[in-house]
Amino acid sequence: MILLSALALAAEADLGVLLDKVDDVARGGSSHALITMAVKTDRYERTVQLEVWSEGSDKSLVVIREPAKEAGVATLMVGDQLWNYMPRVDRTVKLPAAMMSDGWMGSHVTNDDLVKSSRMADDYDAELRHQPDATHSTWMLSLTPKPEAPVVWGRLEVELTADELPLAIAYYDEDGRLERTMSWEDPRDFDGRRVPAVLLVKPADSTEYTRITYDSLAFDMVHDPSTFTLQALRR
Amino acid sequence: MMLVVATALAARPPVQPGLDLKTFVVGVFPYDHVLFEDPDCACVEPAAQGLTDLRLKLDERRGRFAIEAHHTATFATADVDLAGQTGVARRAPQLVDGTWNAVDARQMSLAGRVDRLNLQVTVPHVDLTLGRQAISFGRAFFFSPLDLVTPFDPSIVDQEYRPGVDAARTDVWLGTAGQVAAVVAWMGDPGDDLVREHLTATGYAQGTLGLWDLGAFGGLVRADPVLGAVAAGSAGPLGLRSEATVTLVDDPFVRASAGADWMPMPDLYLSAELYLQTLGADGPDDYLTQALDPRYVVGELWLLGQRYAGVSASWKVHPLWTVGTGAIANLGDPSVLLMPSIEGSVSDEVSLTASGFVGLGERPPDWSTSAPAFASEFGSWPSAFFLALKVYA
Repeated sequence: MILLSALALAAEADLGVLLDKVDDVARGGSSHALITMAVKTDRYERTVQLEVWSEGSDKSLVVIREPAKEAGVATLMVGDQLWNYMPRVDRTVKLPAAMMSDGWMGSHVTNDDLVKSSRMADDYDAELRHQPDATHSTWMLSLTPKPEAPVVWGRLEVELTADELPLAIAYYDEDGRLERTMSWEDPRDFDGRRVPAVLLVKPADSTEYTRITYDSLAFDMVHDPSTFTLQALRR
Repeated sequence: MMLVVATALAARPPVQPGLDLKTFVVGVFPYDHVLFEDPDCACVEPAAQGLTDLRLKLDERRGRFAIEAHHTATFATADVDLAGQTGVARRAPQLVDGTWNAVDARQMSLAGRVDRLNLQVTVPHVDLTLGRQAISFGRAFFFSPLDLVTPFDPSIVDQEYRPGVDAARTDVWLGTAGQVAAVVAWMGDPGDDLVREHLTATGYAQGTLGLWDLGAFGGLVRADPVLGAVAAGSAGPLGLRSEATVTLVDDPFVRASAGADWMPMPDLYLSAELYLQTLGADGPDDYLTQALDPRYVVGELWLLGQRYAGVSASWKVHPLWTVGTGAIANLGDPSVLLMPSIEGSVSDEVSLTASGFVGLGERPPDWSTSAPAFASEFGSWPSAFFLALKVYA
């Protein structure tokens, strides 16, 4: 009995490690990325270029580089604090974090999708559906929210490759309906690490999508101490 | 493996030179009133003007040094000047004359200005900025008492750029959101004497307490001592902000505003603000006198009364189209300035805006039979409508 419990705990810990690998796929302890975000909806298409710095799970700085209409607009997140800076009028605006929880810049991704401040291992209980073996080529995990977790989804299905790179997440609502999928493509070597260069987010039952392409990505650097401050936001 | 990389900020790609090209068509429609019946005045009948504003921009950062240079050129048609209604080609006080006029004829004009030209040097925790630059300490949307260097009038269409002023600024940064700033800005015209009345010297300090940014402001604004404070934070889904100043002249006066922002759904943004300025006129009978006060002449103040409310709603009816309505109400008259607008994104780099200003309130009395006076503040405004095409590259 004790042995079974110990094995179960070990398996749970391993699933947590797998979930962390999904959350950290493009982040690491710290990261710096140049990103092209292409949004296609039924009614319009747009492309935005972003530069993103992150450190840990609670610090990020996102600066819009293109299009020229919005270039220089920057968002700083430190813990629960969120600031937006508009350089043309030299104005810093403090925002409630809730304002960043919906589709970001008309896309299908949230700010959290981009900077990954939340952790699946913290918010969900994981159950192993299958692992790479004779009949399966991937890992498949089923996640249900922990009782007090601040999440909106009823269930997640998380799939990883045999070498533990994220493949896809299916997001279901509380009634079990598929709401959106997030998938990773085109693994490349960035800074000595194998990382999918493309993240595709698609609402269910729709031809719309948001494609995030990492044009460059570096990990585990020591950021300048001022990177996650209002000083950097204004630059 | 932990890599030690030179500062990420230094690794940023340099920003390429860019330009904004904006074309406005402005139409003003006076109401039927003796005020607009001066036969020598072009304001008798509806008038229109075309304006094209070009801004060339160079924003470059190299290591510890950054330069910001913007030059604007504005072409305008017609012999009525309605540019002030739009905010196009707004100028701030300047120490060094950076303006030029290539054409200044009755039916057209072509003029330009160096709107930004500053050098910034960054050392750890400190930014030093010298030259023509935008300066703002306020957090409010409609009424910002702390924006004493280059006040922003919300009743203009082109609010995209705050005009640059000639200034020396030092920012000391402490922690994530701690800031101590000192600014000396020129508030006169080229050639004016270097006296206190033509200078603004202010200090600002800010820190964070919980989810709130708290700031204190003090200084001399055109020789008048001013103290102020600002708070910005959030409570649940609401963004909250408040700021206030007291100007310590012989008859001290207070300006204070408080406001909130809320996104009840992803495509709808609501904002509301209340404003008090004790220096304002007691009622419409005093508005004309009030408007001649030097603080209004130099643009430090622009609202004539004492108590105001501002609201705005911005609704993204389509991913590319936003419909908005703003309103500023003088709670004493009462009168309202309505500001409907619709803005569309034609492409990533092109936008189209149609907007207007409609004054609602009691019109002025007949000045041919009574002393000149207003009956309400915004009731005296003629209606104005704008169409703007903006291209960014």
